[in-house]
Amino acid sequence: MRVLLSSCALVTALGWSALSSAATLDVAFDIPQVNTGKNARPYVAIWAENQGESKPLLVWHLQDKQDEWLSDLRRWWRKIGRYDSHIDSMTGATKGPGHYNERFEINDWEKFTLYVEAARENGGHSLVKTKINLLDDTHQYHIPADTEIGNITIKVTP
Amino acid sequence: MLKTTLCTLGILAASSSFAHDLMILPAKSIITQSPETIAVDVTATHGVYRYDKPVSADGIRVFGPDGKNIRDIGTVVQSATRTSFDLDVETNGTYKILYSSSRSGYMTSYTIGARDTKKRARLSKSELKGNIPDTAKNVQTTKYERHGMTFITAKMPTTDVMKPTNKGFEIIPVTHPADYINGEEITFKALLDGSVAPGVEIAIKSEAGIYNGNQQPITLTTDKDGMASVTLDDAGRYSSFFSYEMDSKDPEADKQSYGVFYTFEVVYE
Repeated sequence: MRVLLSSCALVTALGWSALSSAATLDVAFDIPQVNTGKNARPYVAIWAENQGESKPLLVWHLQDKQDEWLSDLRRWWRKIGRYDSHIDSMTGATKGPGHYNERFEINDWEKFTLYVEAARENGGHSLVKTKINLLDDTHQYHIPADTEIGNITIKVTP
Repeated sequence: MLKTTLCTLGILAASSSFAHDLMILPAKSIITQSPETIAVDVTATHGVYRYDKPVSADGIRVFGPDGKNIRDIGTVVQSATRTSFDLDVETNGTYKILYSSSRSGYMTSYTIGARDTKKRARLSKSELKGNIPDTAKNVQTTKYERHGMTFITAKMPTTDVMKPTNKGFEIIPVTHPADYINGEEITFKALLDGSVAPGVEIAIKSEAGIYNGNQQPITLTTDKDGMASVTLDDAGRYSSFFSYEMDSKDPEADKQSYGVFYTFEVVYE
């Protein structure tokens, strides 16, 4: 697991004198503990969308035959999964409740929407998003917690 | 395919298509990956996603993602309330299931007596003489053509099954059925013999309406380009009916009535 970079220096130091073609996204989020008798680990996906195009970033799912539940990540399935576009993204097994930090590179896009989707067997479904603009001065974004995904903090490093 | 040998059942199926809604109900319309087997029921019904009467097994046709008719769909069971089979989804892509009665039907309506009692008879114009009273008034014969359709998509959506045949009355999904999302626009196109059909009346009923007390259909009409769009706020299963009436080109009828029953799922996002 990656250690989140200390953000203060990054936020203050960087000006936008030149447009870089790549940005780093540090996404920190929680998988919440849900108090039910049977608590399956959720499927989680992270991706970016811009004008109808999608960039797959991450998907955590059960492997082999149990990936039949991938289409329960409804939007992710429609934009990425059913086209097998996620083979170039980070994939991994499902994870239990806890805090996670993931780092992604976004190339070429200056403005996009970052999506996080989580679906749990016999449980709920969450789809959250935030618009990110690399051209403005905001370098930190926050998405409030939903039922199946906790608070999300996104730090953008050009 | 288990073929029905009882001609009475065929007549039942034909009669069903006049008074009932025709529904093709797959257990699931979006599948992550083939191979998978999907239960499919076809019924002529008064309700939404309810079973009332079976249809003739001979009228069921399945088209694979390559657009070709799949001849062997295994055993088809015709029970008291529905006609059922298990569809083997063997390749990824979009399948189409179609039901059409083997023959189009004529229906003549008329009124009789001092009170103008309404009557109907399953007769074409040349069959009227001697079969309805000479005193019948307001006699009008309508030729009906009805079919039902639904789509199933395994993994990646394809469009070969949606290519118009340019024969008869057709409803073409402009928005792909695997992309019906709550709160997003869904567009249909109506064609008659390959030409755009304006003024087609559409009534959409939701299964949820059975439970939430609102069974009022959503109604819309195709525009001059034969197009109509609707945004459905709630995910769930829906049954839609597209109807189009015109003067008959067939001398055996006065009016020609076309109808397509289209069942589909809207998924949440």
